[in-house]
Amino acid sequence: MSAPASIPSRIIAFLSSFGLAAVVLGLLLILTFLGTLEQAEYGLVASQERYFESVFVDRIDIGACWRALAFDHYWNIGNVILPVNILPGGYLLMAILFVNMFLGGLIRIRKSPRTIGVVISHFAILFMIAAGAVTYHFAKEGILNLTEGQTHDEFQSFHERVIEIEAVKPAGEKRTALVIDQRLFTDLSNSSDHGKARTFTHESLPFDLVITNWKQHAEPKRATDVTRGDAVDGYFIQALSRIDPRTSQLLADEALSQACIAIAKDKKTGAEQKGILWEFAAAPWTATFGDQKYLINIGRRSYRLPFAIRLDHTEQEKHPGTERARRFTSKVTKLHGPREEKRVITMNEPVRGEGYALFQSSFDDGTASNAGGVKRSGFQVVENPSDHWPLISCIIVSIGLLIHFMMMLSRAMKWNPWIAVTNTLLIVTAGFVIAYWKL
Amino acid sequence: MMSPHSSKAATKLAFFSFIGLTMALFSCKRLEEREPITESRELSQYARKQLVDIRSADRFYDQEAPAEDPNAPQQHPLVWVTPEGWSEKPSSQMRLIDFSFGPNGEGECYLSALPGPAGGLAANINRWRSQIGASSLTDEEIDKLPRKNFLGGPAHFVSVDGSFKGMGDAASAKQDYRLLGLIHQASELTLFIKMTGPKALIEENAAKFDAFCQSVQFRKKAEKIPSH
Repeated sequence: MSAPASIPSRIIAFLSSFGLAAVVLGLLLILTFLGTLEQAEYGLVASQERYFESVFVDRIDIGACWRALAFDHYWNIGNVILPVNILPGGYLLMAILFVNMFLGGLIRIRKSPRTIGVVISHFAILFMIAAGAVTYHFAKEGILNLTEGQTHDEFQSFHERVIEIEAVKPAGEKRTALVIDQRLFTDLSNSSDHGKARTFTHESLPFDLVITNWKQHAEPKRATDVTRGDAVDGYFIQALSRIDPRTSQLLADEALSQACIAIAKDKKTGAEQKGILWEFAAAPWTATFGDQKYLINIGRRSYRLPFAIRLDHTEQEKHPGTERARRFTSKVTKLHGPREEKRVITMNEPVRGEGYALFQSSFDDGTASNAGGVKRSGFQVVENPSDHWPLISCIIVSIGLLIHFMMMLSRAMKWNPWIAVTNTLLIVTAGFVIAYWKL
Repeated sequence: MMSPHSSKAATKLAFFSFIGLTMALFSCKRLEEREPITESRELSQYARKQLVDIRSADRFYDQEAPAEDPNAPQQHPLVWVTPEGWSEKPSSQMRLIDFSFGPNGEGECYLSALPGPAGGLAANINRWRSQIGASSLTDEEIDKLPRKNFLGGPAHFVSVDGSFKGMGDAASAKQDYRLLGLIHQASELTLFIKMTGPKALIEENAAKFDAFCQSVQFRKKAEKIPSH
């Protein structure tokens, strides 16, 4: 009789089991279903964060899912929310799946010529999960808007917001800003918890910054009633609906304008200065302490490019006889210090370099009433170390499955499996070469 | 094929990696009432200039807000940074911003604005060129002129050397002068910045001209928020 398996062996057996893989894949299916339904009311970004980028799903809005399925047509259940933390999120499930496939599909799998194709395919799927993790943790994506003649070397995130504090310095001096990430203040909404606030401190500042009354989509309104308790300098924060009145669709995250109240408390005297921070404000709020002024604002997180881009010229082609754009082209100059490099960015033809890709994403021909005749180009900037990993992974999966198929076929046909596999791989490689050469 | 020994080692590695990963996932820090600011960044040299002490009405595009002080004199529609060594003269209807510089004030730089296209780009550039005794440019040549960023958009940049007579006659022309200019055509008005003076003096002040042009902003007309 064999000795009972040790606890680590049992754990390994469990982690590499088919049963665990089936449960994880089942839960991923449920997440995809719920996340897709909630997206209708919460938007893509919020839904992705809650279901696919989380360790645990903090709550499930049954009411939103119900309405997304149009069941409220038959029976309106209202706002039903499951405030439970039991459903694992996409991040945790993918981590478990990675471990499961690593142990089961690479380590514990019976290794023989017959299984080589399956092992290759498992490796490629692990590589794809790793690509997802690298993208989640390290990829940066945002927008760089330039007018003709303008130069910049920073792009702004689509979704990440920050609060920045910058000391006013004489022109020409190096400028720095203290940055507060959005995860530190987006819980400070006072919709259900009046007065919820957080204090941010830094040794270089003569004040502590208190942030309160955060709203995801709002605008400042003039307070006609002087007795309003939440008015700051004659304005209050008016929350706005996230439904676009023109289309009745949920506004995209990029169209939302966050706002909050900032209170700068003097560290010595405790004296307070209050201001409203608004994402779409024309200028930051200024707080003054003695002779020093500080600019405080809420906005998109900025990322620095390793080079600067100058927009020299924009061109727009229209479909003949229509006003519909056919092609936008931007002639730009890449500036690396004194070195200049002329490049052209056009639709579906990005400029790549130093790990970054710049895609033409929007265009303004300056004819709008507030554009002043100035042409603008918007470039989507992507920095993703694992940009091509999913493609590579798909190719390896295909090769692995092809090898496995040829192995099984050659067994049935009584061929020499190695000759069959080698010939198949040669044919596939030749096909790729011809396709690449022709395309 | 993997040996049993290496297979065991890999299994152990995977097991401990999983335990570590799980611990990392559950070690999320709870937010406190007081949080230290731990992140900072250096701003780009191309970052928007610092807009200081802008009142709430202007920050929030509230055009109907009452003026801060109804009895206060009307503010200049533009804000700018005066270059070091330049003397500011009172503005007039024709010269919204007016400077003189140089040992005897022989260099001058001013900003003016005219409604609409103001006769067109070519006419204005060639008017300037005629004032300094240079021949007119064709439309193709004008199209090839360099552009400089001004008020968030491109402006045609003119640099001409010659004998400067200004609005006077050829007899009163000042020799060996240089004219630098920017013409910015917006939808409702055309803005001109023109700097003239002895060539050597203008060469010395060319960087200050650029800095001044970059510093000019509308006081109340906020910068357009980029659309996403």
